[in-house]
Amino acid sequence: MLKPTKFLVRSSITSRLLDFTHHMNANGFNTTFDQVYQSLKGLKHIDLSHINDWKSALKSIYCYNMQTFENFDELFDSFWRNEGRKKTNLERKKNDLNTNKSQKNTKSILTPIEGHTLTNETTNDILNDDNEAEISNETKSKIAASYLENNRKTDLKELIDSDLQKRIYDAVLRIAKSIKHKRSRRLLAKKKGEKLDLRKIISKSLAYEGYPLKLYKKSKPKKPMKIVTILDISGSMKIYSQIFLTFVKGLVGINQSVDVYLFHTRLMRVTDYLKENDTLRAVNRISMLTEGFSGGTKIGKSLKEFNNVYSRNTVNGRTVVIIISDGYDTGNPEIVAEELERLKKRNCKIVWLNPLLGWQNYEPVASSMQAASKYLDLFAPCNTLEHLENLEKDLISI
Amino acid sequence: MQWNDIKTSLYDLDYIASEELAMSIHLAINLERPLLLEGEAGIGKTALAIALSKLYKTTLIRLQCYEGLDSASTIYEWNYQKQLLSIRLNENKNDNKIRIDEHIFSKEFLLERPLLRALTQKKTPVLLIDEIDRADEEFEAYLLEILSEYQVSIPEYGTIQAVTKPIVIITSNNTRDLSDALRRRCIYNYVYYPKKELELEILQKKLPNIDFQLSTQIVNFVQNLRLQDLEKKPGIAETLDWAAAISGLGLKDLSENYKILHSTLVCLLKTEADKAIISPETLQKLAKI
Repeated sequence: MLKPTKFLVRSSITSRLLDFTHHMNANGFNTTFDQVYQSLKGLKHIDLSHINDWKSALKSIYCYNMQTFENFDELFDSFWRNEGRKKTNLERKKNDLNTNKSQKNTKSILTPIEGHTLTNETTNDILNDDNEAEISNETKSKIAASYLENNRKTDLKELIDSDLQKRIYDAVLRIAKSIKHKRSRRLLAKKKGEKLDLRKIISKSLAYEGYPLKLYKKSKPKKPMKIVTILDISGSMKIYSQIFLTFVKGLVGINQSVDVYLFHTRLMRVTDYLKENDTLRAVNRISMLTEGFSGGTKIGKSLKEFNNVYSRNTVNGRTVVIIISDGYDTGNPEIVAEELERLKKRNCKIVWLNPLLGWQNYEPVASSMQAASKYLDLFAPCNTLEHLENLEKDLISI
Repeated sequence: MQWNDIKTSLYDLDYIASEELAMSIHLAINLERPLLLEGEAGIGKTALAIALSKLYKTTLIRLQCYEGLDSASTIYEWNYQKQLLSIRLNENKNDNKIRIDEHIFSKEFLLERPLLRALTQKKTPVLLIDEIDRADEEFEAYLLEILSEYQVSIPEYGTIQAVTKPIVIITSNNTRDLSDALRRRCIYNYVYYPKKELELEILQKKLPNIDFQLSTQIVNFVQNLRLQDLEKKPGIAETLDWAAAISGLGLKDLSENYKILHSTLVCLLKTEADKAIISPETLQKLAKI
């Protein structure tokens, strides 16, 4: 966590506020000078001797979405309240006990990025997985999977060099283009439209004393499609994670509405983190966010969380949901099918990209994969770059 | 007026705001910024705007957003039919012919839509832009202009400057991400489901006829229901409906008659899957807690 400034030297409220703005900025808030200005203006209207007033005033000004609204309190306390120490009261203690576990996970949001590399974590994670994952057929196939991995040289696990990165971006651009538009039902003015635009004809006829000399038309415009990507970053997928993260990072970079979620044992929305300009930094940041996830893969549970929390806001008839996962699930496979059915009811297209599908002799034996297949519009392999590049053709046809 | 004054005066108007929300309202009014409220459906975002208009004894101008909303239906439109008629009527009067273009683009022929109307009120109105996430992104763009400059430019007529700056409440249900530009311009508050004590207070304030014990039971039940794995969790609006239904049916205690209780659940559960989850057995368990 960023070290907050201590009150050794009494400084003006303006400079403290500027420091606070930097503190918020370093912890993932988007801050502007206007916020400082508004806070100073707001000082007139609040009683500064009550820290809670100050807190909720700054909260109203500095927050701009649900996530920031939830993170604010902790960051405020760490800056204004002597490194987060508060007067102890019973409620707080109780809260601490309850949230201790979850804080472990949120803590990583607050940590500044340092020279972390993915490779270290990969090994860690695989070790963790071996310890924690349930001993079942899944685990065995995971081990087998990693073994097979080593024999394939063309696999995506190779480190990304700039040339490869460029190829990925090209593929991303073409894929995005292929699912870019779907026709809307609303009519908009257009030169060569199908229908007469009576409203416009009447308004423009004013210039000719009410005679409709020019006919204006309207038609259904093409509306951009949204892409929602749900990426599996569990141990069995770890080798591919970085390349897919680069892939989704590319998707977010292009000018289109893209939403990205990662899952493992729980689901997390990472779209905002991917907006970072530097690809490697973004990927590192995300891998740190997901550090706290425990072993195993819960596809069904994660999809359920997606349906409960996010799908209402993001998925509609103009959405393509791309799930990237190998289908190895330590949870109940029935839930996967149930949740996919629920998702499908939102009239979206569901595409499942499976890196294992590219292997010879692979059948979708993973039970969750079998259950899922009937709700999918496209079930395609994606373990080599060629697959990703060829995806465009399939996506046009769905 | 300080923030706690707002809280107490809203309380007198049957709207119970949390401290953070009261502070946001206080700042939004004093800094003349729009207030952006986000949160689940049915937790009183719209009700706040109505309460504020009562508090300041002013008009509430409401703009309900939907897909395809355009400037003609939100800001202004010329009354074309009337303009045409006016041209026809003046055709034979030779003396007026020269000034006809000035005539037909005057205020008389201007149809004010909610946003323009909010700027031309004599007394500061409350402007409620409801469910902005349903409107298209283009709508946000011209809303931005109005909210930052408080003026509307009409090419044929000129610029209309706000007489009074309206109190703007924008609500969103998160059906899509709002642009950063709009978010930054607003004072922000996320409205959560109320805590137990607050919900009890709201219930007693709104439905004072229900006795304390039953109210507590109702609130406990709804709070526990929200913890269940539901697709659509009940908001405060639903709690109030349900409480009204229960007292209307003459129940004195939730465990009195489970059959009737189960049939009243239509007020709380709005999807088929949710109804299936709350089976009569689960219901009994929840009612006993």
